[in-house]
Amino acid sequence: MLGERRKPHSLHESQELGECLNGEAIAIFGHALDRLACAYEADPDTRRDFMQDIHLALWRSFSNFEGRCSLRTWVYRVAHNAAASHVMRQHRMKKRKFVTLDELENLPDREQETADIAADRGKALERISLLIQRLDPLDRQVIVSHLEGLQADVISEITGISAGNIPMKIHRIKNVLGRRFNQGANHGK
Amino acid sequence: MASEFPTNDVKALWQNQKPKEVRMSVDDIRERADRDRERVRRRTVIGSAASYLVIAYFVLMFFVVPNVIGRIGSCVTIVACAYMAYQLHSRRGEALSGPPTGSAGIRAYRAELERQRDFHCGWWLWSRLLIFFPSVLLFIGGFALSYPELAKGLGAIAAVMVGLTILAVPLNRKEARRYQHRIDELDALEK
Repeated sequence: MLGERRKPHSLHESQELGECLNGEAIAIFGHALDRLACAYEADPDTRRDFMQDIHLALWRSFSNFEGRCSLRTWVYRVAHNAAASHVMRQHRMKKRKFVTLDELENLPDREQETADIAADRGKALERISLLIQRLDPLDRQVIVSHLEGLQADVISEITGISAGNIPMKIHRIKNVLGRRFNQGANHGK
Repeated sequence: MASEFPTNDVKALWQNQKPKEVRMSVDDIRERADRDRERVRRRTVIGSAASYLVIAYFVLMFFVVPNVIGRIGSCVTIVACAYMAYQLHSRRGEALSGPPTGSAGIRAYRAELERQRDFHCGWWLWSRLLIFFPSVLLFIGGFALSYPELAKGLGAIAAVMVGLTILAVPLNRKEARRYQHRIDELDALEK
C-alpha cells in the first residue's frame, strides 16, 4: 500500500488521492508527529499551532507525492521541513537561540532544567525534550529520528546527511545529551 | 558513570510518551489554507501601503524643501525606500515545507541560512547602507540650508544617523558570520 502510486489524471483526482494519503499518513504517523512537535516546541499553545502547520504542510505536499520514496520517509521529510521553518521563524521573531553541540556542552543549566529533576519518567522525558529543544534544527532532526527508531539510511534520506555520517553524528549528540542529562539528574538529587 | 544516553531506555520513554493529540479534519485544513493565503495577501497589502506612505512623504518633501540639495535628497530617499522594500521582500524567509525531493531538508535549511547571511553582508548590506545613508544626509542637509533655525536639531539627527550606520556594519557582519558558521557545519555533513 505504501509503495508505487499511480499518477492522478486530473486536479480533482489529485486532490482526492492527496486527501486519502493524508488520512493514511495521519493514522499511521500521527503519534510520531505529536512527539516530533514536542521536540521542537515547548509552549503548548504554540505547539498546537505548529502541529496544525505540519498537518497543512503534509496535506499540501501530497499533491506532489509520486511514490518514489516510502510514505514514512515523505511524512518525516515534510514534518522536519515544516519544523525547520518553524524554528527559523521563531528564531527571527523572538530571537530564540539554538545552539551547536559544542555550545550546549558548555552552557550553564537553565533554572527549569536544574530544578526538580527527579528520576521519574515524566521528569526524565521533560528533561530530554528540553535538551533537544535547544539543539540546532539539523541535530534535532537526527536525534528525534533516532529516538523514533529510524535506521541510519532512512535518517539520511530525511535529512540529507550522508548515511556514513549519521552514526557518528548520533554518537556525538548522544554523548553531549548524556552528559547534560546526567549533570541535571545529579543536580536534582 | 557512562556519559552516553541510555539509548534503549530513552527510546522506549520517547516512543511511549503521550503528547496531547492535535488532529485536523480536511475541512479544518482547507479553512486554515484559506486563512494563510488571506494573511499573506494582507501582509503584502500593508507592507506595500507603508512603503507608499513613506515614498509619498518624501514626494511631498520634494516640493516643501526649497533647494536643490534637499530635493535630490528626497528623490534618492524615495529610491532608497523602494530598494529597501525590495530587499526585505526578496530576502524574506520562505516556507521550508514545500514538496521535498532528494535531500530537500538540508538544502532548504541551507538556502534559508544563505538568504539570511546574504541579507547581512556583501552587496546586500553595502548597497543598502550606501544608498540610504547619503540620501538621508542630503535631505537633512538641504532642509538645514533652507531652515537654518532648525540646524542644531537636524545636526543631532544627522549625527544619530551616522552613529547608527557605523554601528550597523559590525552588527550585520557578526550576524552574517554566525549564519556562515552554520552553513559550514552543514557543508561538512552533506553528501
